[in-house]
Amino acid sequence: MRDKKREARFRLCLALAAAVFLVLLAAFGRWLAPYDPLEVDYGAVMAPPGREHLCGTDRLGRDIFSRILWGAGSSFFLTFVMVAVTSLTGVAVGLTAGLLGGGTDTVLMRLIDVLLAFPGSVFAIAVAGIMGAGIFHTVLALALVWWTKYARLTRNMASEIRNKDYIIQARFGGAGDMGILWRYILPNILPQAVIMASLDVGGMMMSLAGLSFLGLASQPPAPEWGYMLFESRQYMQTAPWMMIAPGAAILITVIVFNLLGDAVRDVLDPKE
Amino acid sequence: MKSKRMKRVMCAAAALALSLAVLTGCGGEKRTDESSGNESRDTEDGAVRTGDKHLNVALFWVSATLDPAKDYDGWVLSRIGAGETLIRLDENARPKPCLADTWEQTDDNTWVFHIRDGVAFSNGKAVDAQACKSAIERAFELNERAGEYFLLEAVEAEGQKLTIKTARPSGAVPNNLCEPLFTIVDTDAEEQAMDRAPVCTGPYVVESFDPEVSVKLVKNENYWDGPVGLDTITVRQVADSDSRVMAMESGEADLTTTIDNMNLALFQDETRYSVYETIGPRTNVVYMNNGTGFLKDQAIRQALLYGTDRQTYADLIDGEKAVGLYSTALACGRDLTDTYGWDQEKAKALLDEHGYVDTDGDGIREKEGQNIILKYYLSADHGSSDAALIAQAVQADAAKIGIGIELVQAENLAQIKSSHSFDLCSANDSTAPTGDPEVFLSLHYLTGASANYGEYSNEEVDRMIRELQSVFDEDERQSLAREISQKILDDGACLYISYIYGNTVTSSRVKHARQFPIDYYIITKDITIE
Repeated sequence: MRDKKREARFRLCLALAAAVFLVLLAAFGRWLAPYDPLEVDYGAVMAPPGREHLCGTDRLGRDIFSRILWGAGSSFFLTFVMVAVTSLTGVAVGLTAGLLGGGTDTVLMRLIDVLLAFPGSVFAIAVAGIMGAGIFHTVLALALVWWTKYARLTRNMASEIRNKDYIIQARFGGAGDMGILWRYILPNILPQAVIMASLDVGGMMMSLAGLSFLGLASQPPAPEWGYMLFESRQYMQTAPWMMIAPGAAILITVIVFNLLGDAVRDVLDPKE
Repeated sequence: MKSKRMKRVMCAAAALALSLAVLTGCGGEKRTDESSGNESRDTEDGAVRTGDKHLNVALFWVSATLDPAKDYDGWVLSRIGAGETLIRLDENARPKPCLADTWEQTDDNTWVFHIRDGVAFSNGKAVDAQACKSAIERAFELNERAGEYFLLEAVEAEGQKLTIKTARPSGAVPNNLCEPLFTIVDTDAEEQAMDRAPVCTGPYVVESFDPEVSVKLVKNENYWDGPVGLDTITVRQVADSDSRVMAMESGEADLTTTIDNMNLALFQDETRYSVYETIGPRTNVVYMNNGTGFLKDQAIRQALLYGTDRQTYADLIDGEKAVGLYSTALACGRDLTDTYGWDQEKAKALLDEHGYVDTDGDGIREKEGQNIILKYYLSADHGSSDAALIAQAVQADAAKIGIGIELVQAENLAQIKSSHSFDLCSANDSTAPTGDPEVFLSLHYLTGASANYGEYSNEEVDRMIRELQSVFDEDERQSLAREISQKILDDGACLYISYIYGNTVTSSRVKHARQFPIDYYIITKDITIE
């Protein structure tokens, strides 16, 4: 039992280290980048990876490595902000519904049912179609759908815990609503929410990259991984490096954050 | 525990790989399945016999119907070698006899055509003037586009003599009759058959048709113009350019067209492939809004023209540098003077001179205290990346002369264009689909015309365009169009970027294929396979 726990902690440390490394790279990437990511160089169009350009260059001779480093910054920032905002909103709404119960609960839950009927990416595409493409609209659309799963999780746990014996005991003992919320309910729910959020980072990143790939989120010439993939799509055979670099960046990042989410669950999950 | 973690990693990797596959190659994979299904059906019903000369074609578009009078469906009918018109355009985009062997103009509004003797529809029925009359009248009845080419007053048929009377003098009648909209089709056939298997005069006859998927054709035994090179043809729609490349590489297709220029490098091996390229009438253009916003000022438009290195952009996307609106495939597109050659110093001087200077040091010049930032709309076009490349290149060059450009990818580009709510807007225009310059000019550059997206207006140009309508000599028409094009260029109306090469790629077994400048000719009677 103890060995298992230790192993889980070890894995969490490893994953965390990798994630922190990536975050640092994203945060300071722009100072490490050897070139300006927007600098067009017609003399070096589609240069293969080599000493001068670590990951090669694209159709306009821009350095792909620099574009990836710059792109990391905005990708990470957006992803973290999105996950933070949606999870906090979701948990707050879920707690309200779960604890108040009754009419509030019904109204909120039906609203969530409605929102859940829209697949996130499809909804974002529709919003971009109506309001115009652009990172703000797309992110807004994704966020509108994304928070619901946190709300559902929290609400179910909260309404389950609400009637547990120890809560009733606490109430007899004179604890107020807020006290119960802080001392008994939140500690039960938070680990689950944290696990969900950390597992979500990868998914969110993929969603944003996917929408950029479709030309709906980031607009050219912004260095964005998904859009870089789109730009390189036609040159899969003639200049594969244009696709490999951003593809690998997405792959590595998503794997690291999924592993981190896993490790967090193994350590925090009270059920194990 | 360990295996669980492995599973998770594998899952993540698999999910990513899968979604990449879905994002990048969805069209391709689905099509392969479909086509292999068709393949087996081919052999089952015995359509492809051994010893027959069979050609597989991967076409970027197979229409919803094959009725030449509906939308642009006639173009597909012409591309697959089934439909023919009275006159066709040769490799210089000039009219040459087809079903009509001679024609003359008898007065300003009257054209007389002699229908070739001995031509029959694929069902054996003779083609006379009466048959042509009904086909042309049907086109005018069913398709509004017909009226854009010329205003029909009356058609008269007498034996093999067809007389077309126009409501207004129109010198473009012979050229415009080459539009596949005016395909000579047997109108006695039932309307339903018209959609699926129209009876025409081309070297091939539609045998079966699956809307937006495939067409199967067989040799026309009654063809009027000598022997036909193949026995059967299967044309499949492969909308995505990369998928067409892959279809060629895998041998699934023997002939395809319109692949991305960069990918032509994959077909350099002459023992396996033949590549045909020629400049078509298409132009990559960036419309500038002459009517509202910053670009209303000619000086800023001129500065952008001087400041953008169009030769380099053209090299980048493998086109030919554009000077004016017509491509060099047409006589009116040749010998223009490039008024605004690449000269960034001149661009900067021009802006300085007109008082557009950068006072706050942010690198962007201002007009009355407001930064000059132009909104540049491009379509989120998933077919070709040319528009996006041009946009980013223009943006980078404009930044160097102190003009900011914000790129916006729009799904509803057509709406943005027609509501004039843009500063810059990319387009890829077929400037002379019938080899004649008039229609495009009247629709795009006449003051207030329906497709005058950039709100261009010049009284003299208006007058010249009207004059063009009643010029009848073909060479004169071309030279007047050249003059008009030069005037529009001098006014700095648009940024013309490049003329686009059309290409056809075949496997080396296919002989006598060619690339015409006009893109509704692909399959001809000459194409054969060894």
